Amino acid sequence: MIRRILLPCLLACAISVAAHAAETPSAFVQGLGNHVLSLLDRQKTAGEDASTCFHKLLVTDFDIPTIGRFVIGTAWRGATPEERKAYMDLFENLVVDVYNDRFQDYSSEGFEVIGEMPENAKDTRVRSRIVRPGKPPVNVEWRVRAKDGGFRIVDVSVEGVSMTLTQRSEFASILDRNGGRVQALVDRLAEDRVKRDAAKVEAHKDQPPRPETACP
Amino acid sequence: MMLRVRLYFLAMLAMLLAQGLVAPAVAAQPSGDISVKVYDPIEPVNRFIFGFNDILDRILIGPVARAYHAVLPEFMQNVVRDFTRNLKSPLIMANEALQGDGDGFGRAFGRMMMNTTVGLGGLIDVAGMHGIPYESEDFGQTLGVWGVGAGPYLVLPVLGPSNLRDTAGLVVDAVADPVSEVADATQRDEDLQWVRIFGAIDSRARSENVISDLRRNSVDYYASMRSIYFQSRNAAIKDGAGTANIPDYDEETP
Repeated sequence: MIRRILLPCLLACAISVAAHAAETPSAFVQGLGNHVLSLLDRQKTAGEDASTCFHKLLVTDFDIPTIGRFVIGTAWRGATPEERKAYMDLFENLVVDVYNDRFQDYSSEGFEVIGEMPENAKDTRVRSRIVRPGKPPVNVEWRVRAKDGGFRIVDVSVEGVSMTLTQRSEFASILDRNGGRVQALVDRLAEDRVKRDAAKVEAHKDQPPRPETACP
Repeated sequence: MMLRVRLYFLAMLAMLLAQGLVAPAVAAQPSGDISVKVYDPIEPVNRFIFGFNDILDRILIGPVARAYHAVLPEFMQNVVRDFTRNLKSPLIMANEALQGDGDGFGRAFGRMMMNTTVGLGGLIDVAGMHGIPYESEDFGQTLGVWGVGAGPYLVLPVLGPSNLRDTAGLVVDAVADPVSEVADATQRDEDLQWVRIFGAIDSRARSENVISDLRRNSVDYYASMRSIYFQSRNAAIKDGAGTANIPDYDEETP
């Protein structure tokens, strides 16, 4: 019975999500925001674990290979294929962990797109606002790139601070202090990943296992 | 007193202009694309002070701010924030005027009038509730609007990230603040100190999420703070967000 009602609904929802996918950069960002809020809501109200869904969403909606290339700067050119691969894997993991962590602060809040402004032939800057009851709104700007018939995010700026630029200057600092060796950055990222994984285990140590959210 | 203030002002200005000539490379960045490298010639010293501040925050300021947040009811915390902000009104108005921002001056003036009267001497941000939100202005920002470059990055003991321009701005704001003058003249300077200490604790408490996020998620916490400070000051000066000019790597020939 439940299945008979749920299945058409699921199909309809999937179609509406797909139809929404590639209209305008603004619609794309609004869709992403709604998606994140609904996942946060499921985590909160149903006690589910949506980290797999967040992972999928970040990998499909963010242009992680482009961001990764940009934030490592010119050191990319001197990197061996093995170093590039190791770096990209670790970078993807970092982005997923960091944004997963950041999203958690924004549960039960409103998200609205205010406007968009073309930056160049491919990129659009989409301005949005996170509305929090009783607190000043947070201004977030998304740099959205048209790619493969859809859109991908290449940068997020919160109150004028670009996450991509911040990460690039962090990586530059580590590379500078290690004579520009990519392997040093890779080692550092690997070290940090071990620490984050340990912290995740620690954080959920005393909690009962949560069911995984079925990703839309 | 006024003479001292004016001399100070001129000396600072001369120093900043000289510095602006010496390091013009950091002055103007094309809008929309902020350079990633922050000019940081005394990085080892800055890192040392940053480390000291971080320890101080972990053992003292952070715990005090968390206790403040946990113990004080939210409306009292807002009173602390709004009262300290209202005391900054004369400085904000002065800086809006120096930046040639008439609308900003009007908003700051309106806020001060409303909050000081209807808002019970600044305890309640009535203006904010009626759609005139608080805007922070300082002399470092004013200098930035005038075209003075940031100069070398500096980490100040206890106060944290800054640069030469903004440090000079801090000094000018501190010396020129009429509120301090009035407090001095009426022997209320100690009360004012306490208000400012509470204001600082309040603002630290409000940054708790951001600070713990950066500590958790930064690959290089120092470099991350340095970049964030640089970008947010630029955004405040230019009244607009910066963004990275990220190339399209797919178009590159391999």
